[in-house]
Amino acid sequence: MQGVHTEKAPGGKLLRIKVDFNQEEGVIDDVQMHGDFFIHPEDFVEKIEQLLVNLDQEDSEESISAGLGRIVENDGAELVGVTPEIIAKTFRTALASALAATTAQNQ
Amino acid sequence: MAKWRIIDVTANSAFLNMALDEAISEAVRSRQSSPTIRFYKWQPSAVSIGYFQSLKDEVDNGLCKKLGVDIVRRRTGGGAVYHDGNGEITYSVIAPESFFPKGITESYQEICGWIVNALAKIGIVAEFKPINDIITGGKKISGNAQTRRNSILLQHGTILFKLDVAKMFSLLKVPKEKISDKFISDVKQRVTSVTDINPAISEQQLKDALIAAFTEGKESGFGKPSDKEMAEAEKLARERYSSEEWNNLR
Repeated sequence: MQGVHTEKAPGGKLLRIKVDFNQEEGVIDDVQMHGDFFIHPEDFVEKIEQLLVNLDQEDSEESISAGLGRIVENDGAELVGVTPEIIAKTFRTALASALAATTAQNQ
Repeated sequence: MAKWRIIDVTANSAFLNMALDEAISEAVRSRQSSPTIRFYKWQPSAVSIGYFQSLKDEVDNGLCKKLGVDIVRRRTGGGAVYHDGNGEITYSVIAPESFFPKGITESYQEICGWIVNALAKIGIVAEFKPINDIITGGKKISGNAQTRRNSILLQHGTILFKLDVAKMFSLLKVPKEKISDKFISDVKQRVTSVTDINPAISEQQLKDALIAAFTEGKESGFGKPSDKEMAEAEKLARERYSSEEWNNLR
């Protein structure tokens, strides 16, 4: 099932995250980040998406945000118009929506 | 001080425009070309989308096809833009990163300052609005996007000359979240153009003002893309920027 959530922080850019949840295996298959934000270098977005696919589904928004902050700093990447906090919040909401859709389908 | 190459306005396909930016970036990086400021138009009219955007979320693909409007993914972030063939002048600045402030906002501010100065020359009072816009009277008149790769800064952007708002927003799917914090429900109230403000200003006057402001305080001379840049750009346009794979990348 896919969950989608969109956020736009005041003064920031639009961020839409799509989470594909694999119901049979209970894992996240894919995460896609879209929007009019900027990330330097651009292909760093794939690293963020991969981190989100691989993390523990129980991880809190705060710990996801801290993890994102660490890889951004370690790689010397720059986020413009989005922050680790917004990415974590948008991801958690999109994942919750995918899980809710899965639960609804099973009932 | 390095001498800048100024490339006067040419009209190209969306694919060649984006490919030229990349080919020139590579030539500047390898020091085969001088830092370059290029002005251009889009023929046919086109929609460009930001690197991180989903084409199907942002653009009415069917309507673009019907109207003969090309669609291209940029290698810069930012939003979707409708480039009317007669409605704007687009620029690219391509130079070593070291020419500009290290901070992203500061470097936008510097280059956007040239646009603000150009608009002032034709009587339009505008200001830079972070992250990447230029506004006048609260409305956007110029959008800009930047990338930095291999120590080269590329910033490109549009200055709206004549606006077909209905067409612009029929081709683009504007999400309501994007405008929510501006308290404006009607997206048509968010943008303006040079001729909306003063219909007496010609495109030539805008172009002259842009060239004067962009070259102020710089040693510069007019030039053209080299044969090598053009050959590389044509290859990139064919193999990357017009490909489904690139344009549906995300």
